[in-house]
Amino acid sequence: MTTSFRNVEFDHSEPPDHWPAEAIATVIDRGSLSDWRQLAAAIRRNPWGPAARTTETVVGWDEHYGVDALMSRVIRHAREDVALRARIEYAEQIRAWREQTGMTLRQFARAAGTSASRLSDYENAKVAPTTDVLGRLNHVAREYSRRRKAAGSPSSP
Amino acid sequence: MRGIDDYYADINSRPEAVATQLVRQLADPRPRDAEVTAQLSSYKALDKRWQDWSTVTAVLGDLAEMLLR
Repeated sequence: MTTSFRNVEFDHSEPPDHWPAEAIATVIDRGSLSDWRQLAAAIRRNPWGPAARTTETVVGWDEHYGVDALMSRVIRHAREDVALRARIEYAEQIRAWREQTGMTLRQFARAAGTSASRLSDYENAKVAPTTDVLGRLNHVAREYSRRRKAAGSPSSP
Repeated sequence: MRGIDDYYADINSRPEAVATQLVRQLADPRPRDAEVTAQLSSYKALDKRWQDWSTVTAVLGDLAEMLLR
């Protein structure tokens, strides 16, 4: 921390999510690269957390040359990363469901009422499925598993 | 007011002042001769990639963000 805080008392060793808003505004206003680095790391850890929210407000005033643009990017990318990670997790889950049935893309897509190309997009994390589609894919995998258990041995799809 | 530089010594004497200013300018480049940013294709031997100002600012922004890592 290279910035002096003249107006607020707080524990500098705490993460920025625990800082008062005035301290975050000060770092944006008068901070330097290492302070911004610390703030950016907090935003990446918690993109909708207190530090991110305060930063979003302060940079919205459009008074801090360079830092406003920089922190806006950091917030946007941190939030996009969360969405991307979620798509990757859904993709892995959907592929696992399909593999457990032994079906091809086309067969699994048809059974869940979607298209093979759409299913491929889900499995490759290009698109996030709606909860409706996610439910249908899960249903197909569950039904297959239930039928297989009932039959007592692995069955073909 | 004479002591103002001492009061703001944290800004004036910090070791990373140049890097800090560099990051500001990379994140939000504002060339004085802004009109040339629309005429980059007329520059000799300028790689096609850099003839579009929006590409230039996007790459500079990425660089600024990398310096925050």
